[in-house]
Amino acid sequence: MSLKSTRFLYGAHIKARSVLVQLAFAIFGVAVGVALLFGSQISSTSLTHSAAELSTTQLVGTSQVQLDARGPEGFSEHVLEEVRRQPGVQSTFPVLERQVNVIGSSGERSVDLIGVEPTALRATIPLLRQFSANLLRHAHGIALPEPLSNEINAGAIVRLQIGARFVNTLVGTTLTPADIGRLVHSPVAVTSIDYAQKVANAQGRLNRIFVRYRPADAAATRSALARLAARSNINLNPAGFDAQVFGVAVSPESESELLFSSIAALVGFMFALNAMLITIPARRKLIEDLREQGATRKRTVQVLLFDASVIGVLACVLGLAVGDALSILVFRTQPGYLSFAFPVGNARVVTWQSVALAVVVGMLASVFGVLWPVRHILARRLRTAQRLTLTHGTQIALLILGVVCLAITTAVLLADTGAAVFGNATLIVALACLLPLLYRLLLRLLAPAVMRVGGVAAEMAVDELRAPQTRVRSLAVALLGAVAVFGVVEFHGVATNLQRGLDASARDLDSSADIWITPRGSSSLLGTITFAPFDSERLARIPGVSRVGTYRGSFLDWGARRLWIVAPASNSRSVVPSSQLLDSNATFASARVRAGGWAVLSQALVSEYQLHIGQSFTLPSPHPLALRLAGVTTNLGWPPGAVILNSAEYARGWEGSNPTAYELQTQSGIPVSAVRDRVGGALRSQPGLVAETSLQRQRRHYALAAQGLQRLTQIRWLILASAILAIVAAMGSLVWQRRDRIAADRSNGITRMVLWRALVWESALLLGAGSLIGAVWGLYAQLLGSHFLSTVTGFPVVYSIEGDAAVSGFALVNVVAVAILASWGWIAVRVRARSVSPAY
Amino acid sequence: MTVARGQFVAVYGPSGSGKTTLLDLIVGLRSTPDSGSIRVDGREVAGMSNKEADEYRLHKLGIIGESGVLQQGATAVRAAAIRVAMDDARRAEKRVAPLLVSLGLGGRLKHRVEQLSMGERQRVVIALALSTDPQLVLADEPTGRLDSENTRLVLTLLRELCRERGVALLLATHDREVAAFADEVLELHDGKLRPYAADPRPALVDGIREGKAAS
Repeated sequence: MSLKSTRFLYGAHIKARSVLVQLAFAIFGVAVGVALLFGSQISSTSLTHSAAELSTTQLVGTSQVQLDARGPEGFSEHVLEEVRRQPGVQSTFPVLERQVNVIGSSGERSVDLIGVEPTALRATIPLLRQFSANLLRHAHGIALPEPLSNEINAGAIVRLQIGARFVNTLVGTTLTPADIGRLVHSPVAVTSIDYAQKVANAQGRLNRIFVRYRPADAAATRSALARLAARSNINLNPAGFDAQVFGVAVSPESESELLFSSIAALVGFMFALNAMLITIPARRKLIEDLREQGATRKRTVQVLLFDASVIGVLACVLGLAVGDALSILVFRTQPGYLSFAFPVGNARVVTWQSVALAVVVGMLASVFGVLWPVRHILARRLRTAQRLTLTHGTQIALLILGVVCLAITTAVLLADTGAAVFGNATLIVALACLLPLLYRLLLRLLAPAVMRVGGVAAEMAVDELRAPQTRVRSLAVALLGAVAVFGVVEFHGVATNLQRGLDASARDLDSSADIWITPRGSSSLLGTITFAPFDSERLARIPGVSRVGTYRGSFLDWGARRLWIVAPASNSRSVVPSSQLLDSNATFASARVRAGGWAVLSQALVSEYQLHIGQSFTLPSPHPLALRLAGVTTNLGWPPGAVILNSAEYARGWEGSNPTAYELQTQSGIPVSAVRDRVGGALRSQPGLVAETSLQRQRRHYALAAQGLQRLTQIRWLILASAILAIVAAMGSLVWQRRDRIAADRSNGITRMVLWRALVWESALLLGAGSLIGAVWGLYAQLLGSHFLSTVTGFPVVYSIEGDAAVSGFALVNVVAVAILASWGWIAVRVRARSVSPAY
Repeated sequence: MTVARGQFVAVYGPSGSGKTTLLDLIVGLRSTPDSGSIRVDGREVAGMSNKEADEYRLHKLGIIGESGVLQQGATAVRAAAIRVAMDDARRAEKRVAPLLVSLGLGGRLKHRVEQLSMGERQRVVIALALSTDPQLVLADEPTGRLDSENTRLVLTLLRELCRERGVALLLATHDREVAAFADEVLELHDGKLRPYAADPRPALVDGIREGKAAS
């Protein structure tokens, strides 16, 4: 049959208003699924793309390798002269980087201050190709990205906080997207290397040297540079190494986001599919009309596929638009803590893969949903009565398949939580297979009580739900409710378990001291910002202070991991966070670390380097340290992993012994806040430093962790919003299909109030039963997701079944959806009583 | 036109003659007739409020339509009892059961509507219409989808029940054989009612006699 004929037949079919309305509902329902999937995909891809922008496309240019300092203090400029003398080296681009706070008139931000040589500006570094070389060469100022400048209301002059010092500096220019593309969203400040060295008190120091060499001399040059790097205790890495390191850093977050965006995608697909299943009656009628008119099976399928294409294309267009809008509205946060070690912004990145995936899923759902009733209808003779209930054999098969899928999920949970995406897929399949049976049982259980309470309206509702003609639609709506609550409960539970784990880690780390002295600003939260030391004896003399310890910390690249180095004082209350230890003895680990020569590593590191307790290893610090493994921990909330050693050990391994914090213990019986106030008074001459209690510091950590989990929370809200929209569309479709019957009931004298109450009861029972089943499934999925986070990503996770999540998810979906449906139903029952003749 | 209690009146006319319009006016679905008035039990139908119309349709009228109006998923007795349940939910099924038994559905009370045959469903529809003891029952082609045997059965039962219960029955049809069951046949022609000139009943009776003679 030609496309024209197909269009003609299809066009005749959709002329009926009822069919058009059903089509609209189907398109809307599929669009909701596509929007959810697309929006969540944007969320998970944006993060990994943002930092890759900085190094690979901007700073790197045509450089092939970089010499990279191992510690934050950098290395001597003399190394640059040596590099330039190496054979084959064509050009070098030295860089000084420091983490600083930029303070404007209405806010402050932690940024990566990047100092570069003005002479290199017009060469090959794309970052500054359009930038005025003269401006940088002569003016002692910085350049800020426009969004950042606007955010803090920078003005012509800003304050820079470097460690505990403040410097006023000129804002020479603001960088627009035309200057630096998507990098404009990253927290960076650019200046000349001289000026950066001056403000950072790092004269004669560099952090990196990008090197371009002649390809013909590659081997010899690399070899020479490697020798130079080894004797200077610096790293030789590929020029694009930062992207690699960042990739590892976000890998756990990417993996977890992959898991959750996959779950969102599965949920989105189910929403889309259910929207199609609910409009099956219209499709059945189309098939039967076509066959009665003499269309062959092949022609019938052609028309149906055209139907699927129309629905799929319109739904995908609508879904992509809505998903894009949602991603702008919902996913606008920075990735919080990662920005302390990477200049990573919050640019929204839409890839063709995200678009393609969303479109494929939308079309698949449309095609599958359209063809669903076809097999049975085309298989039987035209006038044969349609079987409206599942055969006994089919019911048994569904039961077996559901149980098998549950077993597979359990196996994944116990044996291989790396397959959590697969485990979630089998869990959803189990839900779909077992739902008909569970739904029937629940209805049988609830019906007597409901009918007693609800009277004739409830009886009408229960009868409607029992009717075979509406079985598929009812199950589709119940499944929709189940999948929605499943998603919401799982996300809420996993996010809560992770939050609790991160909070426990923060609590343990921060409670090693009663009072902390650190530089102001959020970037000091991980204890990696150095400041000039001052007389700790003076601190010890403050009334109420019993002990003062020097804390040190930084980031260190080990292989492709940018590790968080945690180095509390040996006399800290606790040096190892006991709640984060995995299969290790806390007493043993703490004693060893205090004594020196030992360190505690994260599980990921231990696995990567195949270490065991007591084994020796070399930490590639600026001055390499030979240490032994004292214990194994989670990643303490820092995705690439962490190393814990004592502060004195750190001073041996890193150049300079500047602290990043002071840890103060207070005397018992004296309020900590009072001692903090006294300490704060003693710091008046050091306005760049702040004293806070352990509790205050913990609260900041909790807020940071919550920010890091924001994407999870956002995906959860996205699922909830999508679920409610999908349910409203589905039930709206059901109610619309009921209008004739409602009109007939009105003719029989059934009042609007009774009919409305019957609709509300029906919605509540349908969604309630489905949601209840989904909540139970969601609780199980929480375990799966939490185990995944813990074992695969290394995050600290507290395992618990979040019943609150189940209750709130159940209540939210039902209350909001039923409320919307009640309003819609009130309008629907106002239909006029039907004409006596069925023809009208 | 007057339809007395217990009387069966058929309105006969071809498609498009206005039979459904007439019934809709009586149900109160259309505003007012072009001329004249419609009164049921002395009460003017036009101009009722929504609440009065609901009350009127529930207690004064019964409508026999197609079996699709029955509550899906319900048992036969519950489907027939829905109107009674508006007033007396507790005893609705008990009140309706005897009616269903008299319609020959005594053994099918607890069967679900979808398990009944077309003829049985139509009898449930009749029970639904009669369940609230209305004064007037309206039917528009009530046997349109039934075979001749079920048509005869349903119409006979309907006529007997209406007589027994003193219910006025007004049936619209374009089928002369169906009209022949009525006590009186009126023809609707150009929007006007008149006694049906070619009363189908003698021909039908003759036909039956001929059939009996042949057998």
